[in-house]
This record gives sequence, C-alpha cells and structure tokens, in this order.
Amino acid sequence: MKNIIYTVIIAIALITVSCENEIEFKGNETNPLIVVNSFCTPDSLVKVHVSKSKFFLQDDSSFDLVNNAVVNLWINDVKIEKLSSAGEGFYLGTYKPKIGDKIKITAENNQFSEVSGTTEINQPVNILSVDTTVKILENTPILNYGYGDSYTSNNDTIGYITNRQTNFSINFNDPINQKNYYRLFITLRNYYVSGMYYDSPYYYSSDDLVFGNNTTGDIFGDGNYSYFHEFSDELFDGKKYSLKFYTNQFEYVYFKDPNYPKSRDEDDLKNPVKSELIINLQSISKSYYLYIKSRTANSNVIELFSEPVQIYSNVKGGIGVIGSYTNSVLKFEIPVTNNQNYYDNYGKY
Amino acid sequence: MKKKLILLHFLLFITFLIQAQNYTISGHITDAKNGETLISSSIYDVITRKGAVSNTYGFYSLTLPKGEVEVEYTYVGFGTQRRIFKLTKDTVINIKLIESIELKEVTVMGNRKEIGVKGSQMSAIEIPISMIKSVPTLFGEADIIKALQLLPGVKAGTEGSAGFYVRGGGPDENLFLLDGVPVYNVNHMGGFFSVFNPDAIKNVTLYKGSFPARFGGRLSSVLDIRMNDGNNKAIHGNVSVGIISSKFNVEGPLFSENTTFNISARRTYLDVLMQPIIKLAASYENSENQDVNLSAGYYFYDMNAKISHKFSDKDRLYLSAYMGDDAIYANMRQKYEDYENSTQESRFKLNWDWGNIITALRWNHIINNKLFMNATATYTRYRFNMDIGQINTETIKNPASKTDMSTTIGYRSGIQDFGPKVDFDYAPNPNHDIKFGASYTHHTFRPGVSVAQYKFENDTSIQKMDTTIGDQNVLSHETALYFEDNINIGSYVKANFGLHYSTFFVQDEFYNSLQPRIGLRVLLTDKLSLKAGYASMSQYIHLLSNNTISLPTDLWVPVTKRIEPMKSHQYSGGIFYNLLNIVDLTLEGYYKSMDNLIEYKDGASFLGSSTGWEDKVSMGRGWAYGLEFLAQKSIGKTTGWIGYTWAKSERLSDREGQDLNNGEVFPAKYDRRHDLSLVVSHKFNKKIDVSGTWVYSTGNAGTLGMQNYFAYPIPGNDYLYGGSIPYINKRNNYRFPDYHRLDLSVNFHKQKKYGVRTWNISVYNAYNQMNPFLIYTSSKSDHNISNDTYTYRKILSKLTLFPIIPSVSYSYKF
Repeated sequence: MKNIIYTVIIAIALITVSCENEIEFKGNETNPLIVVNSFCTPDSLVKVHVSKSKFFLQDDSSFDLVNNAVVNLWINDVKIEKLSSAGEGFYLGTYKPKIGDKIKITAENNQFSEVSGTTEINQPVNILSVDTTVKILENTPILNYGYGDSYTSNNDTIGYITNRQTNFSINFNDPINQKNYYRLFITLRNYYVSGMYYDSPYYYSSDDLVFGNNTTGDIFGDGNYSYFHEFSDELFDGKKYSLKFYTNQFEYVYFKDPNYPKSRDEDDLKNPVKSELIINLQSISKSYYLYIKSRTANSNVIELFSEPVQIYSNVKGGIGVIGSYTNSVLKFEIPVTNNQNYYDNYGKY
Repeated sequence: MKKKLILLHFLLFITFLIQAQNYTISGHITDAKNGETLISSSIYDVITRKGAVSNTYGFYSLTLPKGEVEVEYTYVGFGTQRRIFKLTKDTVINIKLIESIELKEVTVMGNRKEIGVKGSQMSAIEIPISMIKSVPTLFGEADIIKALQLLPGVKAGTEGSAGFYVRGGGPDENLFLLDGVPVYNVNHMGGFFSVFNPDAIKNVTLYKGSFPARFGGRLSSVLDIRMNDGNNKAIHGNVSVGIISSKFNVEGPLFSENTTFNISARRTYLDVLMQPIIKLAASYENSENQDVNLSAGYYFYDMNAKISHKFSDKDRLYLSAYMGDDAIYANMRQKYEDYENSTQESRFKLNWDWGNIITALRWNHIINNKLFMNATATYTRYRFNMDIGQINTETIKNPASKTDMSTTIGYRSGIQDFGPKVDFDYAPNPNHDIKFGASYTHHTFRPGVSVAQYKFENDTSIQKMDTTIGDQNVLSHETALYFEDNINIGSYVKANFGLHYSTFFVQDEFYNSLQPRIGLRVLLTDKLSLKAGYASMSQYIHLLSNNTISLPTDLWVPVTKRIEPMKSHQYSGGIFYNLLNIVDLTLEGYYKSMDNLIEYKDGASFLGSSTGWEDKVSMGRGWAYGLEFLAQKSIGKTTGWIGYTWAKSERLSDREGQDLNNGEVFPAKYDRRHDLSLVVSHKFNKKIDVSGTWVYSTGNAGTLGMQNYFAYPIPGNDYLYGGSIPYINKRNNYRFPDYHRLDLSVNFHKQKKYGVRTWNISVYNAYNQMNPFLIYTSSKSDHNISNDTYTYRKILSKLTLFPIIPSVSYSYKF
C-alpha cells in the first residue's frame, strides 16, 4: 500500500514539475537599428546592402529593406561617390576598388542618423608553389544485398569504391609586421558535353595546425572537414608557410551488370567530360574573418549548452559588416567520376 | 607599521623563551555522551586571562605560568567545566563535556572562538548540522549545500541546483573538503541534491575570504566538512524514509570504547518503484512468437563510513571513506521466434554511471604536549562511465547456422588524486597558535575518451573493429607548504599571519605561487570587534562545463602552457557585534580582483570532450565587490538568521585574439545585486517544531539578442546564406525576473520505546512562485474563431522547474 502511495505522489510531483509559461518582456525595448553590409573585392563594383533590424519578439521571417538611404563611398578618406539604389536594399557604385584602398561606407536616411564602417583591400596571397601527391587509399567492395529470403544468401560483390586522396601543399609568403587573415575554399567545376559547366563546393580536410581545433568534437564524434576554413597568420607571421590539406575523391566502380545495361548507359550520358578543382586562397580583412567566424559559431550553437554568440559587427552606430577579400585562384584537373566527393569517417587519416 | 608589528612579534617570542617557569596543560575534549571530539571548544584560564581553542581533532594545548590556575572548558550547548589546581608540571587533562539540558535544543552558528567576535578569522561561517537538518528543502532531503546557499555571500546557481557561487567567483572555484580530501563532483541528480549526507556529518565550516594559510588551490571558497567519528558508548542510529530516498545511519563502539565506527547510506528508489510499470509497458509488445523484457531507471546512492581507533592518549588512527554514484540504466531483451526456421534475439544494454570515491587514512599523534601532528594519506576519484551495447543473434535451424553481431560504445572521463599530507599544530604559549604543514598531490586527469567495438561472427567468418578516440591521460604534480601563526598582541589585537606556497608541474610546465594571508582583529569592547583580512589565492585546475546546466560529463582539466593559473587577491573588512548575548551581528565588505579567469568564447560548448578546449576559452580578468550583513540568533526557542548581500561581479576579456564582448566589461553570469534570506526555526515544545525560509534575489543575468537582423550572405557559402541572426549588444545583457520562494516545514516528534520517531512535512515553494529556470523565445498560436485561422507570434517563455512541492518523510532515531 505504501508503495502505491509513494508512486502516486511521485507521479503527481513529476507531472507538476517543469511548467512553461509566457512572460512579459521587461527591459528597454530597443529601437530598430540600421543594418549595412558590404564585401568589397578588387576590380568589382562596390555593392552595399541596407536593411532594418527588428525587435526580437517580432516576426523575423523577412526584414524591411531600406531603399531610401544615402549611401556614400569614401576611398582613402576622400568621398568618391554616392551609391545609387538598385532596389531590394542594394546600392551600387561605379568605382572598382584597388589593392591598398581604404574603403569607408556611410549610410543614413530620415529615420537613422549616419552610420559608417571601414575596411582595407589586402594584397592577394603571394603563392610561391603548389605540391600535390595522389594516393589510392582503399578499394572497398560493394555488396549487392539481394531480394532473397535472407540477407545472408544471394549477396555478391558487384563493384568497388576507391578513395583517391590528393594531398595539397600550398607554399606562400605571409607579409611581415601585420596581422593577416586567410580563407581557403575549393569549388568543383564539372564541364559537360553541351559546353555548360556546373560549380559546387567541394569538401576538403586538413590536419594543419593553422585551422586550430575548430571541430565540434564531443562524445558523438569529431572531424575537421568542411567546405571552408578560415585562419590567421598567428602561427607563421611574416614567414613562408606551407599550407597542407587534402581531398578525398570517392568513386563507385560497378562491374558490368547484365541486368541493368540501360541505366548504366544513361548514367554515362550524364557524366561530365572534364572536372577541375578551383582552389581559392583568399586574403581577407579582419572584419570579414571575424564575421565568418562568428556566423559559423552561431550556426553551431546548441541551445542551452553553448554560450550565445555575438555576431561580429564593425558598423559604428548600426549593425553589419564592411569587409573585403582578394582572390588567388589555382586550378587542378581531376579524373571525371560520376560521384561528388563526400566525407565519411574513413576519409580522415 | 609592518616593521613595528614584526618587532613586537619578535619581542613577544623572546619574552616567551626567557620565561622558564611555564607548564603546558593539554588533552582532548570530547562529548561525554558519545565520545565525539568537540572541535573548537574554548579553554580559558580565568587568572591569567589566557586561552586556547581545541583543533579539528579535539586536541588542545595551553601553556601557562607556574602557579594557581583556574581553567574553564566551554562549548556552546554544553555545561562548562572548571579545573582549579596548582600548576607545577606539564599536565594532561582530557575533558568530557556534558550536553546541557537547558540548552539542549539550542542551535548555534558562529560559536567558534576564531570565527566569532573575539577570533581573528573573518569571512567564515560554521553551521551546526542540526540547523542544516532543520532548513526545509526540496523533497524534504536535508542538504548541506542548499543550507549554505542561504548565507550572505553565497549564491545558488539556477533554480534547484547545488551550484555554489561565492563572492563573485565561479562554480569551479570552491574547494569542497570531506575529512580533508577534495571532492570533485558534489552533485547528485544534476545538482538538485548534493553528495553530502547530513547524517554522516559532524561539522561544516565555510570560508569565503581571509583564508587561513592551510587552505589553497581554489580562488573563492573552502568548505571544510568533517564526518562523525562514531559514538564510543553505545550503538545508536536512525532510519528515515522519504519521498525520494531512504537512508540509515548506525554508529557505535566496536569491541571496546577505543574503536568506533559510523556508517551512513542512502539510496533513491524511484527506479525500483517504477520497475513493475516499465515491465508492464514492455509486455504490451509481447505476442505469441515475440517476447520483450525491459528494465530501466535512474538512481543515486551514497555511503559514508568511518572507523577510528585510539591506540593511546597520544595516537589515534582514522579511516574514512565516501562512495557515491548516480546511474541511469536500461536493459532490453527481445526474442522473436519464426515458427518455421529461425530465432532472432537482440539484447540492448545501457549503463551510465558517475560518482566519487574518497578515502582518507589519518594518524593523529601528539609529539609532545605542545606539538600535535596529523598525517594523512588521501585518495579521491571522480569518474563518468557510459556504456551502450547491443547484441543481435540469429539462429537458423535448417541448414543450421548462427550469426552474432555485437556493437559496444563506451565513454570514460574523470579525475583521480592521491597523495600524502602532514599538518602540525604547535602552541608554544597562549599568545601563539602555530600551524604548519606540507602536502603533495598526484593528479591524473582523464579527458573524454570514446571506445567503439564492433564484432560480426557467423559460421564462416569473423569481422572485428576496435577504435579509440580521445586524448591521453594528463598527469600532474601539485605540492603545497604552509605556515600560519595566530598571535595575540596585547589584549585587544589578534592577528593571523600566514604564507601558503604551492607548485604545479604539468606537461613540462612549472608554475608556483607564494600566497600571503593576513587576518587582523581589534577588540573594541568585549562584544564589539573590527576585523580585516587579505588573502591571495591560486588555482591550477578548471572545470569545463556547459552554459546552463551542470552535467556529469563536465571535465576537470589542468592549466597548460597557454592557460595559466588563475589568481585572486581579496581584501575584506568587517564589524562584529554581539547584541545582549542573543544576536550576533556581522557586517562585512570585500573587494576581490581575479586574473587569468577563463570565460567561454562565443558558441563554446563542452559535451564531454576536452579536445581543443584551450581554443574555446579566453583568459581575462574579473572584479567582485560587495557588502554582506548577517544577524543570527542562536539561543532560545526561536533561532535563525537574516542574511543580506549587495554585490557586483564583472569580467573583462580583452587580450589580443581572445576578446569577448568587443573587449568591454560585462557582468559575470551570476552577478546579482541583491540577495536576501530569512531562516527561522521555532520550537513549540518537545513534540512540535517548525521552520521556514524565505529567499529573494535579483534575477540572474543572461544573454538575449534584443534585435534580429538580415543575415547577409557570405560570398560562396551557401550554408550561411540569408535568414535571421540575433544582435547581442552585450554579454549577459538581460536580467531574469527576480527570484523569491518560501519553504516551510514542520516536525512532529514522539518518544517511543526505543527511540524517537519524527514525521516531517515540508512544502517547497509554498506560494507556488513560478521562478524561471530558463528563459527563451518560442512561438504561440492564436486562434481566430471567426474565420478559423491561426496566427503565430513569438513570445518570451520561461521554464519553471519546481512549482509548489509538498513532501513527507518518516524517521526513527534510536
């Protein structure tokens, strides 16, 4: 009897425990702020985006764009032009920044007083050389799990998967006496018979120390693979550095299957005729670097477990980021396969 | 000034040396009823007006001039004993004090000579266990940590948790000592209960500042908890049954009066009670050819045990141990039988457990009547284990074959320390009470390590896989040396000078720190004193935790080359006044500066992995200052205290590449301006007593993005394209609503044939205040009846963990 009483009491206690309630927001309901964003790169027109922030309890599925702002472009402390509104919150100029330009963007309208942000266009990365080595790391059989009575019968090897690992080493010089920031990303460009090509971001991995241990490693796994990595020159300031990373290209090779000759042929038609990797080692501004870092950290936040992230902003009086980047591009042809590369746990060595 | 003090000290010492006509009275002071040693009893010679205080093991030593002496032995709640005799040689007097009938139910705080008006120690509080037991708590489980959270200067973390934030410090800056051995995880059930079972505890002292030199290794507080030795007269004990757990305690002599034991244990039993329901639920899955068995649950237990043996008046040996675990388990067996041909069986097993083991072997030795030695070997270990495994077996009758597939995943983390320690108490004369000692600790840090195993076996082949992911164990060596002297300078001034020196060696990195400690008391009248203190502290270990919730996977890590030891300097001052021998009033102020504090970087989380932890934290500085007021009534039918704290705690992380909050000052996470607590106990008669507590505090600080804005795409990065991102102008920019709560409890006692039975009824959060545990945004739908449409809007929500919670428990003390 006693046990029953206790069980009932506990059940009641557990049911009543943890209740959710709406509460009234008590605090200064902050007014909206003007949001100004622009990423400048040499030899491209300056494009600025202006919008308005919203109080956090309002619907944020869309934001009010600001099309009536006065947006000015300053180069090396001289006002160059007033950018013209191109709609959708965008403002375009006619000036194409050059390397070494100090850019200032100001924006204001009847609701917001002037806000401003600055950036400087960096020199491109001084790439000295690129070394590559290719290894075939594994040949894993592909088993056919037939439709028989049990999976233990009627299985057979119908092909194999190869992992073609390419190790890259990009040697470059880091400028002395200044803080530099870099971003590396790879794009796969597939050319088709029609002459069209299609670009897609390409996974790569690295154990290079410059990437730090920016894994989200926990009990449930770890990894240092991504489409993008950002890093600073903290470990090699003013020195020659050899940046190492690798890609894994997995290919499914099927033996000729008399049962499905047609489908194989169809696949062949879809295959690209040429594939190349476009490796872009960007030299980026500090503001751009911090913005990317904070955006990435914010997208990895696990509610309740992670520290909230303050997204980087360098717009004084408002929100947003004015940043810059300079591309240094290398192209590297790879064998055509009918598969994209992808990462799995066996890809890391 | 400093030079003058040193000179004065020196002269006093010389005076002592040339006074040859001195003799020493020494001995142990115990409770006549059960033989328990009485810590901090007062020994006072009325003629010379000199006195001493018994140490942690009840030993005292008082050196007086030859001639008539009239020594008074007092301990609050006990009758005073007096010895009048002619002192002509060194004398050993062991005193057994008798509990006073008039004062029997009196509960006392701050009675210790070195803590009260007359002592040189400040920023310290002692709570008798009886008071802790009378404080009403969640589910009626008396809890030391929860009671201490009601004191000024100590803040609880989130609702219901055993989090402990002392004078603006972090939760890993507290040294919890159980019989002198550090305890690394003081939480059961994620922090709703602490691991210290009050039935096993004799004495609790909390130091918030002005730390005596014998303590070190943490910045913010030292909680010195001593276990009961055990009654040496007769077997006694108690049994109690509550909503959450049951417990028992037995103590008594073993073979003779010289050997005593004390054992306490408790266990929760929700899992046991739920087993039939779980089994029943699983059985619904059963069918003619399928059989399912399931057992699952959560429990925690702890056990305290202590044995002491008195070899002689000079030698005593103690062995004390604590062991406790929390565990989550599940076992499932599923058997499926195909009529025709095959049987498939799958077994699933999950075991998570985490807990501490603590052991101390202690030898008390009286070298001579002025010098007392205490040598200890200590061992402490916290570990977290997680194992998940599954085995699938398929047996086919015709043609006969068998296939086994097993997968197991394990995760281990923890910390383990062992080492020797020696402490000396030396009382050359009544003006000096010297303590010195040394210790060595060997730490093994076990960062999170995952192990995965896979095995496939059939009649023709075997496949195996075995992987281990994680960091290597980290070993480190910590040593400490200390010296402190509690000095009487004339009748009015008392000072405590101390030095603590510690070293830490880890992964080829050597750190050391010399930490001066000073405490000063000026007695203005017999009832009024002023005190001031300074303490420098260093800490070589960190706890990697999570943003909101304390989890058993939280990891202790040592300092590294990049992450240097944390340091603090605390200055405190206060007024101590005893009003009409009834109420003790204390007003203290403090200022604490902290350096090399670690703060978690934006987005950092630690889910059981220390990999790359140095990249997830930034080192910074902090300041905390505040005023604390405490009024406590210790005598009479109504006892209790009022505590109020005004405090501020700020952080700054502005080092290159490590800046947080744009390199600007921000409030610490548990920065709260006001904290008020009221604790009252009233005894109506022998049969009924009641108690209540009311707490009020400013809400916790949290980080909330007050604005959302368009997430401008990063060129080339589809994954961070568009959407909405929050604008956070400052870390910890939002205040949770104020927190307040009333807890009540009533005890009904009845004398039975063999003892006293007590029914306790308590109510946690009596007026059902919905205090926030978490605050977050969510969406709410409003139904428009006229056109049957729903509109959604964003709202700010709070999650309350504990509304009103009544509980009842039964106990029997024999």
